[in-house]
Amino acid sequence: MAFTPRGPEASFFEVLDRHRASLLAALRRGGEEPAGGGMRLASSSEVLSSIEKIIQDIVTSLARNEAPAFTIDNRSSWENIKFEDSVGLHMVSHCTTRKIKSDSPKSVKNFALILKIFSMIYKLVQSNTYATKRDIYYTDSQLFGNQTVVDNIINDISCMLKVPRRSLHILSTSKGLIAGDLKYLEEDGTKVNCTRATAVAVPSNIQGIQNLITDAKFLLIVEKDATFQRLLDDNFCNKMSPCIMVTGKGVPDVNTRLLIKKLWDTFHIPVFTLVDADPHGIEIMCIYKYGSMAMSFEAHNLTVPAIRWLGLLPSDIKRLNIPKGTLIPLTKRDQMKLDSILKRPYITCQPFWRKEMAAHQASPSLGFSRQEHWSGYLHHILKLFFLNFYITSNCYVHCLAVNCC
Amino acid sequence: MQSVLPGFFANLNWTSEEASHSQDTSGLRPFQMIFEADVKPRTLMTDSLVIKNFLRKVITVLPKIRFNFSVKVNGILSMEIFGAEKEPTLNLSNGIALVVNCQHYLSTPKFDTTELPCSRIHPVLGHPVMLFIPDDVVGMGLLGELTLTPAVALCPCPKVFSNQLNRISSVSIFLYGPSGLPLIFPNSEQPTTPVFKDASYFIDWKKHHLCMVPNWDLSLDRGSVLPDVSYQVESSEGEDQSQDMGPQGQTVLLFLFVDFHREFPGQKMELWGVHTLLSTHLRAILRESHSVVQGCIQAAVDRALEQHHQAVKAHQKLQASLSVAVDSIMSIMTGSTNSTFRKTCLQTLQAADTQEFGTKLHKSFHEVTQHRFVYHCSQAVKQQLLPEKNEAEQNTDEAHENSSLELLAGTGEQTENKRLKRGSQGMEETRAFRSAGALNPSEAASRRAEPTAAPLTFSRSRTGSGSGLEGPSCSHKAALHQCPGGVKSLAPLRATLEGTYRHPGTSLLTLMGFRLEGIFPAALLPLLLTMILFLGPLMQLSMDCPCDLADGLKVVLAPRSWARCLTDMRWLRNQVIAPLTEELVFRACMLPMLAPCTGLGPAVFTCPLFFGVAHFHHIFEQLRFRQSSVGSIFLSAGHLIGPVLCHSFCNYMGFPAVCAALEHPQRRPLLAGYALGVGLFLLLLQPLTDPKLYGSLPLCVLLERAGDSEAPLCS
Repeated sequence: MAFTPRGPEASFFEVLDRHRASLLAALRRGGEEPAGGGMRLASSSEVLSSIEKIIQDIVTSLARNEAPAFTIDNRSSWENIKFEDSVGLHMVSHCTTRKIKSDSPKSVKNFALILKIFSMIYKLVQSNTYATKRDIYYTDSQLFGNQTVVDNIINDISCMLKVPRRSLHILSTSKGLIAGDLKYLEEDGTKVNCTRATAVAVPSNIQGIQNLITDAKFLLIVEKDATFQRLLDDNFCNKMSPCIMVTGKGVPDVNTRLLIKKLWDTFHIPVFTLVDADPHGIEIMCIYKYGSMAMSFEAHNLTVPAIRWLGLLPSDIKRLNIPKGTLIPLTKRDQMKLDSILKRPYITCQPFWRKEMAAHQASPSLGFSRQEHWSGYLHHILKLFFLNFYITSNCYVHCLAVNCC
Repeated sequence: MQSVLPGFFANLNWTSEEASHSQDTSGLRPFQMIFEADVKPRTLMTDSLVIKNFLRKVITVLPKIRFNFSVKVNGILSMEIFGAEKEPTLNLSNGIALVVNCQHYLSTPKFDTTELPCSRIHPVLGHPVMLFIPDDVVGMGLLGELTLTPAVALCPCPKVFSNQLNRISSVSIFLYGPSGLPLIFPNSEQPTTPVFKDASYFIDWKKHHLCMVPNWDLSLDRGSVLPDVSYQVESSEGEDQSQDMGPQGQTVLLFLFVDFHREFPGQKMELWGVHTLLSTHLRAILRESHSVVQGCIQAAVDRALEQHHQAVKAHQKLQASLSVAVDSIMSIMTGSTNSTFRKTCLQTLQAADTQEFGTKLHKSFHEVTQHRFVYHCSQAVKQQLLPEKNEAEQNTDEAHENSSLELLAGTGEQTENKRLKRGSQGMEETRAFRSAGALNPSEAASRRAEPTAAPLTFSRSRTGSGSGLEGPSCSHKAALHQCPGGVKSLAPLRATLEGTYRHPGTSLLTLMGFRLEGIFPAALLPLLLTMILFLGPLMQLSMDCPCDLADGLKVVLAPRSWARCLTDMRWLRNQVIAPLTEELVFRACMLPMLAPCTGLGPAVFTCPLFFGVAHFHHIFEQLRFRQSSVGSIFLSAGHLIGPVLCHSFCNYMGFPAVCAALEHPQRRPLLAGYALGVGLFLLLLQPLTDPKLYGSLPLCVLLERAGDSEAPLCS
């Protein structure tokens, strides 16, 4: 490695500053946040009254001798999802719906479970208490069967009432971690300082965070916890420059995504992702940047389209001469995933990604590398990425100009 | 003919016969058989019942045939018509169609068929097996290979029982020969062959936790088809419950169709003969091919019972789900504090109170769902039932039974849609690219224009990572507009001041507050005073700041943070330039002019008015109230540095966020801090602004000249 661990060079800051300037310029050109998009926090009375309305509808249809049914926006079809560069994947306003009928053997259970969760939410909102999704599952674990059933229903309800999960008084325990130059005040007045050596868990109430303070130059999202811990052990944040590191430990949860969105909205510092150079890594990066299909109804609160793919690019494997021993060949499933990602709508506006993935496809035997394997010199490699990014950023600038990236 | 109708005692004499007696399904021609029987009245009843039963049996599989059965006894003609032409049927094979109206199979009038939610049976067709013909059976081998096809159905449809647990109470077996003619064993004394004596000879009932015993006492006198063989469930516990269970449970209907593998080789005319032959030897044939027959019947029965179990399960699921749903609605209803909501709910179901609401809710939920619930009850009049190929296929088929066709159609449509969409997307893309190309020149222009804006954004992006409270564009504008304005206004002022108040003893600069005498107390004491006033907000700030004291000190002492502040436009504007220029204009220049004209008191209070007017553009930002104290500080201290520092401090703090303080988690100490700050400020205002602390006042000279006798200030 040609780099000596002496601290960041001027060129590195230059890259960052130029990138930030271009981001801000793009932001200004695009005007302020897209108007009217996001779901705002609904007041408890609004939630209560909308639940009451739903119950009333059910009772009315029963009185008319019709089988009641819920109409739920279909969240699992690409047809309902519009891709917009400034927002990411978000739901179209008139999307196809599916009915959960009470008179069909397949959906009657789901119908009942939705009603049950409605009643629990109603109680939570009424008493102004909060519960986690796990709490809800454990109130009647036999009835629900498994956690994903509850999660899905809660997402459906959130989509049905058009309010974020927080307004339903349902929390999800965050699995994400933060470290680096960030201080903030939680809702209950607790002071949190992330500059310490150990990482801090992402708070469960992102909206309640106040007084964020940072000197950070950039925000680095790390896909994996192992990589994150390695960087932390290497004292990456101090060696590199002031920065914030966040990991969602794989596919990020809503809180981690909300936090990144909040950090971006507050500071407008460049956000980079460090993911594995495999289809899953690319997908996770896409979730941070453009959001996922399942949560597309809340995309305005969750996506940060300004996120950049820093590494590990599939082409880096060749460029950095990564030893073959640390590479893991792509499996059949990886290939399928890659193909499915290539079909996603956002790929069309990312010719650079396309190229990278084509490189990926061309040499399936090379596969990807696990970052943990390069232990000690990870931050050097990262620096290399930044410079690499600088080299390729001409492409980014071009993309910004045509308002593409 | 005798052999076909066992238990028929009368001697028959054919009297007339029109048309051939081919009884195949195409036999739509009228066909009449007249039997004259010389009879004893005792046997007549039985005989006609036997005939009736025979006819019933025929029409259940050959619904197109219509029988007019008339009996003339002592000149009195009683007539009965048998036919199932308009009944819903299920096509099996070889033109045989099974009537699926369960009325034909139900013996008990318990079920009022008009009220049944589903009045059909839903047969499962097993796949045909070849029968072995024993060597000693004469003549049969010549006729061709025999097959046996079982069909199993539950009667009545499980839907009927949706209020109770479904049970199997009996089994009825119906035997049919070629062309759908009933196959009746010739031995009239013993209607069931030994083969069927043992209930578990063909079907392992124990597998289904059922214990079958043959049922011998079958009365002919019932409105339904009489089975050839019948079993009843004996409860495995051997309790007398079996008696009560009898008629209420479901009956398993097992139809066994014996037919020739290929088209019947012989003449139609020989049918009766063949039929008789078959009836005679069936026992032997069935015994010979026991294992094959058992396998195929067992499979069909298993599948039918599997359906049954699924129905039971589905029903239980429905029950459980409905109660969950009703409970949830009730919980929301009763827990609601919204009285109008509760009232509307009650009114909708016309319930008087919540309890009645609950019962009505449960009832109507049941009624509504039951109508359409229960597994797969097809309503088509005609259906083609195909035997299953094998076990593996059977599972998947069952899973998709309802919707496989629709699904197929649906997915086909979807993929087509997708393809279409993709196509149109591609079109749009190319269009977008083209338009991007067209836009290029203007873009280039905008890029050329960029450099002018670049330095500003650049410097800010380096340093402006402080609080992002104000919109970036707005702060720029304000900074640019304010600085030159402040500087410009100095020139004419200097002229006026020099012209009006030129006095030999005091220089203009001293008058304006630039002097060294008493500079330290002048810098510190007013700042202290202001900080006391801001005691509450300061406490709030320290509570809300996520960093602790050590961190704070580190930040304050670090040269980097100062350097960053100094390069930050906003910081410079708020903390340095604005206080300096504003104080220069409003305090240093304005007060010395105002004081002689209006007197000290009014001057202190009018000066902030000017200041306020000048800050009118901030009205949306925050209200300001602190200016008069700053004015009095200048007057009493005679130093500009004091007001400048106070102003800077106030600018940093902003207007106290009283609302936030009221909602703060540590509300009490905070509000106490607010009160204490204001109290201390009022107390200390006088002693700390004592002019003696700050050296001699240049303003007094002016005041003296103006003849003002404001003694306390200048004494």
